[in-house]
Amino acid sequence: MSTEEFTDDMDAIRQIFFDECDEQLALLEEELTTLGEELENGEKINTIFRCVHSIKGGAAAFGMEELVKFSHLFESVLDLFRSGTHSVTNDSVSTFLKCKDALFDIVAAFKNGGGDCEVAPDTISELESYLHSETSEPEQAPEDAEMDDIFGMAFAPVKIAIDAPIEQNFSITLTVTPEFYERGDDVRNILIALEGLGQLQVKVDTDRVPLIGDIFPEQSYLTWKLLLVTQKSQVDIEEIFEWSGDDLQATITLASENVDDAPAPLPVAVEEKTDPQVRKSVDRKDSATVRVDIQRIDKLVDLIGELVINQGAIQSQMRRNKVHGDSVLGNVVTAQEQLIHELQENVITMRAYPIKTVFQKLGRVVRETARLTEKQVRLVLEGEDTEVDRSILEKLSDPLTHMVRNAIDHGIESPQVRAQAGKDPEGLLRLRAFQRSGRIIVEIQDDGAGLDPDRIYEKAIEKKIIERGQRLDRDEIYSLIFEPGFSTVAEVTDVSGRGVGMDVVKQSLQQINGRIFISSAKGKGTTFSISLPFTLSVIEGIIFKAEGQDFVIPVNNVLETIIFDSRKAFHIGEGKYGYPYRDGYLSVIYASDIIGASSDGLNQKICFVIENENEEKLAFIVDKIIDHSRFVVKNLEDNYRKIACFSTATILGDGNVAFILDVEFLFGELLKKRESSLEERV
Amino acid sequence: MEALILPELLDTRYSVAFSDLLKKQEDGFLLDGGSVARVGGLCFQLLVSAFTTAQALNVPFEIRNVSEGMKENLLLLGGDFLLQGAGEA
Amino acid sequence: MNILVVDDSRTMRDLVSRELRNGGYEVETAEDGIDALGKIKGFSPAVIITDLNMPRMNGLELTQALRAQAETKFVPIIFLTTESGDELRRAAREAGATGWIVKPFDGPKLLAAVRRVSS
Repeated sequence: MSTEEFTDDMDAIRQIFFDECDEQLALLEEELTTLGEELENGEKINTIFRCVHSIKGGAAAFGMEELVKFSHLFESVLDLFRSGTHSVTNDSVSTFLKCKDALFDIVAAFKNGGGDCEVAPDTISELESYLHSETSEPEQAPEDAEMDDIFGMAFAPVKIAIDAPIEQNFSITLTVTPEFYERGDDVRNILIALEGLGQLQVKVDTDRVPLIGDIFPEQSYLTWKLLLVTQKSQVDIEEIFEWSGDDLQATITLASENVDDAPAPLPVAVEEKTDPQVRKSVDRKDSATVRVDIQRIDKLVDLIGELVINQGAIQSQMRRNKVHGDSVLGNVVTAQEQLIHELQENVITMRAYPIKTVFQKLGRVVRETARLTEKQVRLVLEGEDTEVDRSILEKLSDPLTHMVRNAIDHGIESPQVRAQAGKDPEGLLRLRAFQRSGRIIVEIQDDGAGLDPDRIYEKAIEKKIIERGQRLDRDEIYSLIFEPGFSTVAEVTDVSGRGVGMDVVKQSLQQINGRIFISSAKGKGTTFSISLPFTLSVIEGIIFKAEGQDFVIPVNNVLETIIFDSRKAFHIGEGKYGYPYRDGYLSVIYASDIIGASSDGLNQKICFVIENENEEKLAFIVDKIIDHSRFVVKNLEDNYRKIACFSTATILGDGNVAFILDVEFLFGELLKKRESSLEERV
Repeated sequence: MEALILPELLDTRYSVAFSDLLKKQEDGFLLDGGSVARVGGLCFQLLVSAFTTAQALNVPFEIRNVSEGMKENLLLLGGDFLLQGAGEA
Repeated sequence: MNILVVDDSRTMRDLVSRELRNGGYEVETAEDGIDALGKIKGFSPAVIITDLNMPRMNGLELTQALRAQAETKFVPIIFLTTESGDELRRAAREAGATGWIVKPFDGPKLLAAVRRVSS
């Protein structure tokens, strides 16, 4: 047969089909007549099945509906014999023979150009009786469901109705497994197919690719992040992944509709399982959205920042020229200030993303960590729709990942231990986000073993973080886990990361003005609460003067402002002063010391009582308070040499630059002083 | 340094051999892509690894004489960075 | 590009071959799995299209055999079958099939499937 000649002509192939039908029917007859002699022959039934199946396949290709219908019915019945549901009797053999005759008649009718050929109704009912006896449920006529398949009706992809071709942006993530390649497929195939649907942007994540000396060539290390701009529907895209199943961990997200003509950037990874319900809700939400390049919004935020500064300039000119606030001009300017404020708030919200994007990534982290640590963890997500500024969201992912790993690795106990303690073997990890008094709170709560203050205390001594005998309350002990060097490489397990301790978590959170709090109960679990600002681009602050310069301090760090009476300050060590406050005293830091200018300090009349997230307090002494306002934060590194205590600045109404004080730095200064006095005592 | 001439098909089947070849390159990676028609995901991954290795060890990485097909495939796979400083066919 | 078509029905072999050759492919045919294994050498197909239910060696057994040989370990294999059950697709995937097309025979669908695995 290898030299079999190819036939191009459809009529000739049709003829071949009829020849083949004759061969199959002859074979069918032969097998059927001998079937009666040996009723238990599985191989014979298989051959008979194949004959009928083969006729059906060809008939479908040529659209011979009658023939397909009948051979399909016959085949369905034969399948019940093949699978052993029915066993062959002389009665069934006689039915089969009748069917063979019927097939012969239909084939002959088609061969002679006709096609109208009715099968004797009793043959059909005989066949159907086998189907009905198989199950007590009313048997669905095979024509209904499967026949649609045969004629391809059901194969027209069910498209989500879209009235006019609208371009949509889909972000697609492909994580490729080795099995995908083992089945002869290739990412290139997928990308080409996607490219065929529209405009495709490809980004490859190469972070996991090892160096060439360490690579396993048949292992798969890459993840692709795609943006597809297409008029096709999600169903069309899913069709491309249909064959790959789990071998290609593909997530498709409808980014938004109405693409503007600017080259769309890859969005912050927004991943969503393509579960139809989720998709529905996304569709609804996006129906009223416009996709805008994030850089354009950033630009808008910047411009509004300039506007705020300009507004300040106008007001400061008005004051200088003694224009009364109640004058017509004054009222207009005040109204404008309000409008700019609203504009600013609105634009900043545009840049906000739901925290869902980070939470969903954590879902994978949880599964993976649970697997590695052989723990059972149920993840509960709450407040996924809470919106956070993009710049904060980007920096939130790493610390949260680390904390989630930690919670599973160190917090949640193994199923055995849990069971012994009378707990559900499955641990609970709850991630919760919500807004509280203008800040975003993210909680990571586990129902694990809880922190053990005694162990932390001992360990902190061992690590030379504290001295034995040092008196600390419980919260102070908990916060020791954030000290550099508390978790060291030697103790880091496979899971919780390589030498990254909670100190790094804290530092990264501080970069986004985040604060972290711990509450824990031994045996019950631990909750880490992270408090984040809504945005990093605007702060509410107090502008003050020190050494003739203007500075800004974030208002949320200022507990209280009091008049400083230098006579009450008392000396507690070299260069160290205390100041009475409520029942105790506060360590004093003079602004003049920080800024570096030396003066007699006599001008310093105002004391800010400053508090950090650990509820530590200090007294910060400045010359005078000028104003309380909202300030647009400018990153200092871009424009100025980095100065230790100021990481950001703002531009004031008069066009001058004012540095924004980094409160954590002040506490760092304080710590240095404490340490040096410790050394002195030694 | 002698250029490693890449075959027509950098497909899954070639990945093991390709990996072995690349692992032997000690002074850097000088590759000739003149006859490459197709690049699959696994060989692409090896090129990425070679590129990263070259950067880490501060040795050269260059694909010379990149064929149209290879260029197309590398761009499709998001590997435009592999073509930096590469001479085109 | 070479494509091997494996089907016990000559009608199907001819229909599929005709479509593929019109699409610009070189085609070789085989009647069942055993025949196909004999024809791999010397033809080196870039894609294999196979029926499922065939005498002597069926499509699943053929796929397993092909995946076990170095030359054909990664060759895309597409099932062309009337059986559309999920169970069967799972079996095909597990055997190492790249994809599947469900009959009735549809020329454009066939060509699209071939392009999907070999462009």
